[in-house]
Amino acid sequence: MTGSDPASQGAAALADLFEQCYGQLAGYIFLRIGNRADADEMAGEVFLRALEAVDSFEWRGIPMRAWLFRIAHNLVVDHLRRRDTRPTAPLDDALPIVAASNPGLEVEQRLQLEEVYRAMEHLNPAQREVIGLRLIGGLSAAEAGQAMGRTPGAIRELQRTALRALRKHLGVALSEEE
Amino acid sequence: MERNLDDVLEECLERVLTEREPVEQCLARYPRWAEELRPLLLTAIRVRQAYSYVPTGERQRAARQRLLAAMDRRARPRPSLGARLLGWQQRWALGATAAVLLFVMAGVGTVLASEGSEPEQPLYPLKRAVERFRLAVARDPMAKAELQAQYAERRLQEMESSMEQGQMQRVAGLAKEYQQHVDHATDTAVPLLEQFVGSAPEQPTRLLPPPEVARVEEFLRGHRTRLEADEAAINALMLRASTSTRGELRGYLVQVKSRRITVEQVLGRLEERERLSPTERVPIQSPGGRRPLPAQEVEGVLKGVRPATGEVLLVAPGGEVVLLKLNRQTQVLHQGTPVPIQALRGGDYLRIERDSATGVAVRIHMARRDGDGQ
Repeated sequence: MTGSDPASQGAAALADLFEQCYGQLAGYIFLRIGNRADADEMAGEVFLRALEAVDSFEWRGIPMRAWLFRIAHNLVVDHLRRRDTRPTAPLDDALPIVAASNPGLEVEQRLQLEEVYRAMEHLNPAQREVIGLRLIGGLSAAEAGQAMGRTPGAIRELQRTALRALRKHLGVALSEEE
Repeated sequence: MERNLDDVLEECLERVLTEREPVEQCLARYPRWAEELRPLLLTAIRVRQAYSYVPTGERQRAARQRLLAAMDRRARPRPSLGARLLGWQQRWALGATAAVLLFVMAGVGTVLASEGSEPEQPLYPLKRAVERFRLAVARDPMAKAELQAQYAERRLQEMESSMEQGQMQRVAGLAKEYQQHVDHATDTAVPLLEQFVGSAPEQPTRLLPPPEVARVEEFLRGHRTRLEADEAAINALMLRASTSTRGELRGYLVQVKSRRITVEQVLGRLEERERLSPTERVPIQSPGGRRPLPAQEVEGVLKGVRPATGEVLLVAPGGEVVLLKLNRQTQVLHQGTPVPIQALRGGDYLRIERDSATGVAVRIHMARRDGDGQ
């Protein structure tokens, strides 16, 4: 409440952000690497990395949430480099939503996910990144800009081009939805 | 033009994805951009739906625990310079000892170094963060209530130490937080017990099985005692407080008393209920009339069935809670006719024949509580 040690304040802020951001981070990582188990594991790793570096966080000048996604991005890049495969990998067998009570829904979700996943493979890395941060991670344009080292305006432009590219590869069924 | 479209797209994404505004409603605000915006918004929705990500609860809990352990390690005092200058063999030996100690301590619940910190100390924010964290990790409402009560006591101790230092403003702030902890603890536990005492003894209390009743009751008895002691402590603080802080403390004292009375009332109703045993309220008539039960038989009022584990929970006439295993061979009979296990309802009278070796129910004779006319 009144303690002023920046390190312990940073650790406290991290603990508070865990509940809010763990799922978003795991979702963002899942979108990038396609493996649910690894995504959950790496989302936890993001917080441990952040805790190690939290002492110097005060001087970074960006919101902590954006910083967490930047750490997540670095982990993803390392992970993909280690895996040494194409930028996006095949989906694992685990579904993002468990709906065991409705197998039909499960299959539909699986197909929907695979369709989007295939479309994502046509995006360049920056476009994939902005889709992950904005639509899955839930960051604002300003936060995504801070995580990616770009201006909010550049993020908005990038998000438009990414959505257009996705639209192109998702096909005509889109117009019937909402 | 593109810049403007980008701004509008940004606003619509916020409306559609965050505020759940229908796409067409959002587009109606920007007719000039509607044709361009529609496919982009629908694409965004498609992506969001496809990646509706729910992390595995088990992995999330494990990640929480790892973070908590790492925070715990950080909170420990750093070794002295002398210790850091020790040779590697000694460091290794010390490290091994520390690891063993940590392991032993972890087994009984590691107490964070920050937990003894006071509001003016650097580790205090960490202490509070760990509290919030533990509340988030708590597995059930009663575990949360127990933590809230524990944190209320901490705030009260901090109020006392802050009073020692003459930090009146801080005392008032801590008092508010103390009251919030007390409210959370009370508002969680009291309704749970009220559900139980409010139900007829012969009715099942699905939300609160008997072992939980005992847990809630024990908690509330302790809570009442703590609140009584807290009232005395707050009275003592008021004597030393500044005029304005005293006024605030008086307000909290009234609220604490009110919460204590609430707890006493529900405990009183529980005691009243227990004075009337189930057999006194609802005479149980076994289908075949009263007779001494063979050792392998048990009878009572059905409190609940757990289909997943194949267990039934009975309350015997003496009030004893009996948990029995069923298996696929278990027969349920109603007026001598086999019926599916799904026919069992809370409040049914059951006489169960058990296998004397395994204790598994072999045959269940069932009678409806309000007669066998159904």
